[in-house]
Amino acid sequence: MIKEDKLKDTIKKISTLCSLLILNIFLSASAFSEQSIEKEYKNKVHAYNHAISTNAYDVAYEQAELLLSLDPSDTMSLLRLVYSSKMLNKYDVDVIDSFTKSVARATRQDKEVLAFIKAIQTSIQVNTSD
Amino acid sequence: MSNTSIAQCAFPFPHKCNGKWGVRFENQGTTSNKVYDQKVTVFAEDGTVIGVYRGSSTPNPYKPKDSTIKGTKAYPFVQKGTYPLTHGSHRGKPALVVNNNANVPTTELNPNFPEQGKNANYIHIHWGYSSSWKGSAGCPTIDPLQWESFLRAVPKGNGLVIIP
Repeated sequence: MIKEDKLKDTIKKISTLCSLLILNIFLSASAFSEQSIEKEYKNKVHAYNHAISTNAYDVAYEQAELLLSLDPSDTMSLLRLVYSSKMLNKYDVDVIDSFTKSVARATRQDKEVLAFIKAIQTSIQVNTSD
Repeated sequence: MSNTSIAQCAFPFPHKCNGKWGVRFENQGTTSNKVYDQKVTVFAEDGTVIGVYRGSSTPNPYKPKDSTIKGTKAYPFVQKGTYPLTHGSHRGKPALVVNNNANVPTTELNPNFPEQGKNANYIHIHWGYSSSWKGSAGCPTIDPLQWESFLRAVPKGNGLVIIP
């Protein structure tokens, strides 16, 4: 009975591993297709949101950094980075300043997001000086 | 001599131009790579070639969150010319800084910073995001596979970059 359970468990593990491998191959292949970068962007936004919803702020921070590396002008992704940074109590001034310099200030929404980012940054500075 | 910080230097470079080393981006299509499609040559002060690499002097072709926003509507394109170049940092890592982070002229109104007019600042030569995507909002990039060797080849001190 115990042997049977172990066998089932092993089969389950192999099956999960195979699924992950197939998913990985599929994602790698799609990365080379036309407009795949749009999919990559959406996948990273999804991964970021999922990480936030599960309080995995370190994962969220990494995804936000990658989103900004895909598009350094993406103001919304700077907000993603600064928010996860605040939740992690990890604030790398040089890196965040560097990203801040390249995000867009073209639309009213960009400017409103930047004002919100500034408010979060101020709250981080207030907390660290306490 | 004008008061501008943009170097006045004849193209092609260097040919004993100010006795400085240089990085020259050739025209698009000078490599067989689809993304990093410009030959990038690093010259010593005396004009000898230190190394040849793959890169791109133009930004991402479109915004990844909306591929209908393309070309100069998406990002600024640095105008053809010769600009001062020094070692510095990009997101906390070593990279090359164009014109001491001050404005350089762009071909059209900067779509991300319209208040700056036809200019862009904080232009750096940095590593590309991947072999298929530059990850640039206006900066020249080098194929990430060649980034480390490219940066090692660039001499210390002040040089020039040529954008075609």
